[in-house]
Amino acid sequence: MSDLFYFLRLHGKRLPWLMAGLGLMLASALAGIGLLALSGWFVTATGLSGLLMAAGVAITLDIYRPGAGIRAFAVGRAVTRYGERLINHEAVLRTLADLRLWVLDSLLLQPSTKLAMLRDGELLNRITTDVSALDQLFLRLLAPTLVAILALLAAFAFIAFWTPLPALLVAGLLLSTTLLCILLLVRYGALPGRNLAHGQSRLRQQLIGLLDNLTELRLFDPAHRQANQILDLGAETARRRLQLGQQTTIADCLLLTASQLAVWLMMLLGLGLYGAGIINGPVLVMLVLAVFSLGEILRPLPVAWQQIGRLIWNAQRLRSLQADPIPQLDTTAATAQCDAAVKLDGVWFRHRTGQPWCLQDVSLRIEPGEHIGIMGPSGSGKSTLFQLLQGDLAPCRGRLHAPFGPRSGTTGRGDPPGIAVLGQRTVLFQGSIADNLQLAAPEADSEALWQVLEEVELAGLIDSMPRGLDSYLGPGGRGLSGGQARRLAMARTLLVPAGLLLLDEPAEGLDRQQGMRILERLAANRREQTIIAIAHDRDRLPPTDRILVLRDGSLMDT
Amino acid sequence: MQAPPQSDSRWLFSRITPTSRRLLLLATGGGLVAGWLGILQAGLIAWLVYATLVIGAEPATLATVFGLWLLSIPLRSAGLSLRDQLALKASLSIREHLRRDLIHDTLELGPVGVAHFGSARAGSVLLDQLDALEGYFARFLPQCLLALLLPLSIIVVAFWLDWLAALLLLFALPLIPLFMALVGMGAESINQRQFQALERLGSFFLDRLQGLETLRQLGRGGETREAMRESTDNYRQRTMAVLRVAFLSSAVLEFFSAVAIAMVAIYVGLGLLGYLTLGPAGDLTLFSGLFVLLLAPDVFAPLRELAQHYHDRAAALGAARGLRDLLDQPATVVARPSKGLGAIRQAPEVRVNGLTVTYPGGDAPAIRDLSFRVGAGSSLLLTGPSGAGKTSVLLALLGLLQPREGTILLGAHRIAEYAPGSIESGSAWLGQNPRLLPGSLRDNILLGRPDASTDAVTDAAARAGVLRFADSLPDGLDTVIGERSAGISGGEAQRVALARLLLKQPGLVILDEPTARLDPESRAIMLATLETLAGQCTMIVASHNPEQFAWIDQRLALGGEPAA
Repeated sequence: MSDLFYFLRLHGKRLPWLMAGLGLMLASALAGIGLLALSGWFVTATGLSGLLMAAGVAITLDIYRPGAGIRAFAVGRAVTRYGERLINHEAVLRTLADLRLWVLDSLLLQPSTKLAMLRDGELLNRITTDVSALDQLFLRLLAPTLVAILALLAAFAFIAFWTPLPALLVAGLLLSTTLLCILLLVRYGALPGRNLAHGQSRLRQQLIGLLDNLTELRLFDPAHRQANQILDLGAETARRRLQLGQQTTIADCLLLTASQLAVWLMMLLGLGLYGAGIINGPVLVMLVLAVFSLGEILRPLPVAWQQIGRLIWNAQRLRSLQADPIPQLDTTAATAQCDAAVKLDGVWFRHRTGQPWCLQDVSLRIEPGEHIGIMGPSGSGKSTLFQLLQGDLAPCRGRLHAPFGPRSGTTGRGDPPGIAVLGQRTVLFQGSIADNLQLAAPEADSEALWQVLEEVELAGLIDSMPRGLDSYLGPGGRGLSGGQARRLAMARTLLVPAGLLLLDEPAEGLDRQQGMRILERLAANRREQTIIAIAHDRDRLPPTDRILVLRDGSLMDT
Repeated sequence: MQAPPQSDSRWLFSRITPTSRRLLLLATGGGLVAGWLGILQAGLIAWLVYATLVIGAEPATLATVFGLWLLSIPLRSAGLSLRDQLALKASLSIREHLRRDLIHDTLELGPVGVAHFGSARAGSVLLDQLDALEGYFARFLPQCLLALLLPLSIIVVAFWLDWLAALLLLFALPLIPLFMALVGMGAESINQRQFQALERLGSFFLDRLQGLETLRQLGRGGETREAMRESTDNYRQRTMAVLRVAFLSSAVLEFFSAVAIAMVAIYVGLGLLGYLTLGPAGDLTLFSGLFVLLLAPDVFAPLRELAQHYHDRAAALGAARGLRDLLDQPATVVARPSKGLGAIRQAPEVRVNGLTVTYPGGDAPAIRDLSFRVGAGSSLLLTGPSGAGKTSVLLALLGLLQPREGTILLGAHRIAEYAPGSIESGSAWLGQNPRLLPGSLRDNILLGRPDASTDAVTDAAARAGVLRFADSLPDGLDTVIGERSAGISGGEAQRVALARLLLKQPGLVILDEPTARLDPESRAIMLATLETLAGQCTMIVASHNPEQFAWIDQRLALGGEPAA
């Protein structure tokens, strides 16, 4: 629940929009009540006067002011409703933007391992689901509830003006049923709602597992056990959905019965008051019809509150994005020392106590401009070493000194990173080739771009494209082959004005000869930069001054 | 002759199962009864007012009316509950039926067909698009009938009360769809542009999030934030432009219903006063006047509810397209008779004659006129540059890709002669990029032989080098791996896949680049373990590192005719 409140507070800066929307929503609800109540009064008053006039009694009835009132309510309801929807959607869209930026801000503070998970789509899918559930939090859940309660109070005041006791009874009946329904749905709906959301997420995982493993499953699971498991899971989510639907229906039924009973009660009490001469006929009908139209305002509540369990779950899951932010390194201290060498002094690292060490007593000194290669099998700690060097992780023991400025994250403009990284996976962006390259160096002119493209042997290809540097790449850099994309990513890394170049499997996806050619050229052209390259094999490394081997977290000379 | 293509809404309708149809009809019936009871209640209210105010009836005579009214209250609530609950049940049942068909179809389609369709797209069909159907069956369809029947019932009652008032309502009714259509046409084209903008914005957000690690490394966190803010602002402005028009259609509905109520009220009022002598106005009583007034909002309420569910229809029609696309994919898998041959012999001989294979959607054959023979228990290495068709041969051998020409004999019989599951139960496959199934390492190893003993699993895990890393995991072999093998490396996942293969003890082993993308340690384990299988089974391996497989009996180099 506290997570839900957290995101509600995020809505806070849109308060004026939300209040305006709420006000209009209330106005439209009250206009609806007014329309029917005043019409009832008018019809009854005219009916009674008509009878008297037919009997020859001379009376006058002002039909113009009530008539105008009816028309005003009618038009007013339509207009306020239109305005309310516009304002509320404006508010929702602004909230959506806030939420997206919140996601971005939260993620930028997360360690690279978490960001790397974004590439697989599942985390991404989770985030989009959660965001789209929460952006409607106010409009779907809170606003109708507040409007219902305020309208009930207004109706109470109106009826109490004529007759206090029935007002108390009717408004009390409706208000207590409303609150009871909400309470029931929160109390008993939260768990099935969360279970449903959880079941759906498991179903998703299993289905993706199925689609990823169609060949494996065909051979290892010819009896379709996996598929049947998915169908069972689907049936289970359907059962949970139905259970949740049942609760909503019960709440709906309760509320509907209460609102009908309220009309019945108002009529019963009203007839008594009429008999006692406390209210007249038209007022009686007006009060009954006011209660009659209150029912419509309460109708959306059960469906809205049915979502509560799910929303809490969405909020928790989204909030957990902020779970373990990266340690904020004291970069000022690091930059104060003007020693340009990279130094690791007895560095130990593991992710959690109790787990095996990823790095054990690693000591290393790399002089400025030195090129070193590190070989190691998967799981030997290579990527952990890179994350330490980038400041994504802090050593558990020992000292690390990487004098290449702070790794910039969320802070507005972004200082030059000082460290250029080519990750193991190739990541490109939707946009032109120039856009992709200029991410590394916004001020780089086309000459600089062509030069670096030449270096990675892409200039010919891009020159042959009709739009050259402005050729457009789809999401994730679609449009280039694996090897071309790898070389473009490499070109981008080379454009970063950095003192330290970290290359993770740089020749991945390139054919052997071209890979060697490019890496040799790269190393020769960058004598002034420190380069650390890691790879599984020696022949996938650029020529370097030294080659070290990382095995089970320990660093050794070859 | 081919039948004309079915429209998406007709197709959705055809997916309603007989049980669901009954449920939906009952649900509509519940809604109808509730609506009629609503009419009754309006009549009782009007009559109570009339009896007291005009006739001056005794309270004792009114008690029956109050009793009747009280009785109708739970019935009306029950009718609506019935509508919601039964329609939801029907909708969920239709959805799970469809899911079964779709999963069945996906399995039939096989890896080649699904890859052709798009794996991510198939995932979205099986999950999101299927879920998008719920509202259509649970809310829209029942309401569709109610939105027609209830206003008609009310108009009939109103005609009996006062035909002029009924005409007023009747005129307002058809005007609504007319105006909505007019406004809707304008909204439609804007809507489409808006939809494109949403897709672009969504893909922009996702694209940037996917590469967020890289953006941060490049120091572009702040710029990305600004770009995101700008594009969402832009999106908001476009959306609001659409909504200003789109909401007009519902405003029209609101306006007409409000104005119709006002018109009826004023007409009745003037009639009662005797100012109107037009038509039946002179015969109006407080009873008929009040009754008509109370009915007026209920004429529009079902339509308003339908309008609220209209997006359910739009969502379902969009989803139907995707579902049908998946169901209509032609199968790429070789069809096999259920009464075919049983399991293949241990270590079968494999003979391929004049094999030509084409991928779905491709014209140029991936392999042309290929012939070879692998003796029982012998091994073959397929080599050649990437694109030479190595994988295609392996897929064809497993019956996953229908040959265009030529024959494949497994142990003297064609693939199409075997029963489904028979070839599979005696063979195993290992690709280059295994993605383990959600669950524990043990579950993944047990996949091919769920009844295997713990010792057998441990033995296979030890031989495949799984224990070397599993021992340092928190729960050993029972460690649950995350989504898409998160938590273990590619080499480690490959070793789990190898253990799965060993446990199954297959007679025919098909390996597609088993050592590509492996670290030296995993590669060494893989090669040493595979060598121990030589002689025990028929093995066919595709690799572009032939030097790693010195022990394989024969080699076949596939031509360097690279596919596009």
